Amino acid sequence: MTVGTFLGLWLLLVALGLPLFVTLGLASLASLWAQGDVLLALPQRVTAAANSFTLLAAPFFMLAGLAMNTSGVTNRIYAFAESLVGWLRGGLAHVNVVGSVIFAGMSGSAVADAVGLGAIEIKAMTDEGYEREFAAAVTAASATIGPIIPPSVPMLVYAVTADASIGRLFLGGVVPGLLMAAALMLQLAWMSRRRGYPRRPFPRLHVVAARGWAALPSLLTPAILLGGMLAGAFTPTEAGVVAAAYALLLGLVIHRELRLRDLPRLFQETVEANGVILILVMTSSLFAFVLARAQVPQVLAGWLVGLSTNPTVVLLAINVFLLLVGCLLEALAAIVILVPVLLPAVKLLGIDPVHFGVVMVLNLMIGTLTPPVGIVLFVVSRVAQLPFEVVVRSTAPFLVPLVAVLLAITLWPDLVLFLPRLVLGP
Amino acid sequence: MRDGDFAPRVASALAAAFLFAIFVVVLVQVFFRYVLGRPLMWTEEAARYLYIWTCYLGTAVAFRRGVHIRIGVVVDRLSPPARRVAELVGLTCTAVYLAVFLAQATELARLSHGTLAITFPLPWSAIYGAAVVSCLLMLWFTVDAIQRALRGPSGRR
Repeated sequence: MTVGTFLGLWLLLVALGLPLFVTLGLASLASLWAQGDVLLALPQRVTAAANSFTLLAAPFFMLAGLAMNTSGVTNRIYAFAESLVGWLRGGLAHVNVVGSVIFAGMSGSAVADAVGLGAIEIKAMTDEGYEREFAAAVTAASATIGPIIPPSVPMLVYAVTADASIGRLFLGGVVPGLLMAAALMLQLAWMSRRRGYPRRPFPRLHVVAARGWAALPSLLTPAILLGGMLAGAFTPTEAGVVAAAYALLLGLVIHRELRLRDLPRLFQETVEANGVILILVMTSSLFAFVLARAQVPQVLAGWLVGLSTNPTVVLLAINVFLLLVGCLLEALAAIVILVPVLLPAVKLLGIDPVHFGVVMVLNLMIGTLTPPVGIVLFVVSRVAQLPFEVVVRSTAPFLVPLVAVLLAITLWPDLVLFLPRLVLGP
Repeated sequence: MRDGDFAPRVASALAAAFLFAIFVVVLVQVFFRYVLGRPLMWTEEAARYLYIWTCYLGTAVAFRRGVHIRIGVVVDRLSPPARRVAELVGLTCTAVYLAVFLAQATELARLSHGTLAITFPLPWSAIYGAAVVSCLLMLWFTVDAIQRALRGPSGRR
């Protein structure tokens, strides 16, 4: 079976509306079968992909986010963010972004941000007279900061697939994540002025201090997570488990808004969310194996290097390609399938795999905001109770600042690499 | 979940219990290495195998609840009769994939029965068993969905 037939068959199955993991598996199965291969590779490859101690940090990053949503931590983060930037014009829109930045330090997925914080933010914004679709758009756009600022499930999957340092990737995401927030707030400031959005009174210092104090235990989570990891005390998985334990402890003991009988439901929700993304990761690794057997990485590497020997030019070309792929493929599946395909060329050109990883993840997070496969758009349209198309249209303007940040970190690798080099050495 | 949906409930509870077990095992690992300074040998391997089970069972639960990521834009634009045909073709393709996967996973479990885990005497068949159980569940759900699609007018759940 040629690569063209293989990809064509896959696209046909995708169009039929089958679950993505089935399309990836069935196309791979057809290719293996046509080659007359042993089909035992099917369960073996798929299972092997989940047999990773590093990858099993993923459900705990999700658990931490879910635990915070049910234990009142999210409300405290929101209140603190409100006292920090609520007084700007279009205040609650800015609160939405700042809240996402704080939440990002505890949760590893954009979806958890959109569901938990998003519900609070959309309600607060519409209550104050903002258009519902605008509130939904700000929520969706700022949710993509979640997996850029550590911890991050997509970066974890990249690290496992590319065999890159998780500590460096996590640190490399900090500056780009803050840049995304700044770019979004710049866009919001401009839109708020033009549309005459309201501002809130400047808060008194003791209110800021009190809300900061209430949010402090939650704000410590990233410190525990990153500190423990970077000091070499914990592996990333252990750090994830400890952070999840800390989030549960916060809800059960300190805030007392989580009850012991909530725990089974919390674990069941985590298991289901984990099942959805892990089967994609697992089946994608089978798909990647089939592509590798067809020599696709070698051919593509030769082609990319032939395109230009200037790493920046190639990186820009890869970015355009990834933005297109991000419309059609779920982010984690794209990472597992495309990292083995693109990495040989990337390394050949002397591009740092950590730099490439952060660029790739940011790029694919923009893909969660573009139809037809825009996971964050789906979730936000459900939370905001708006038609999918409406959210697609209202989110579109915010793609501009996000793509601008993507371009910036593509052109200036130091924006990504400065912090990991500073902390962990060259 | 549908009323009387016993199997997914059990699978969900079991998967949550496995995740909780991983949680405890990793905390024990941290405690023994970091606090007692006596690292344990078996914890990492145990956590990995529990995770394989968690993933496969969670997938089956998500499958029953219809929350797996898919692209509906093409199918949703079709006329109701055409959509029904597309749905049946899709379900049949899914059933074929799951059936082949199930057969291969069963064979793999059989072949690997003599191979043991490294730090404790668990045969690998018990690990590949996760794939078998998950596929069996999903195949059952798919056949059930095909039957309902044949019976119902639009086949929508």
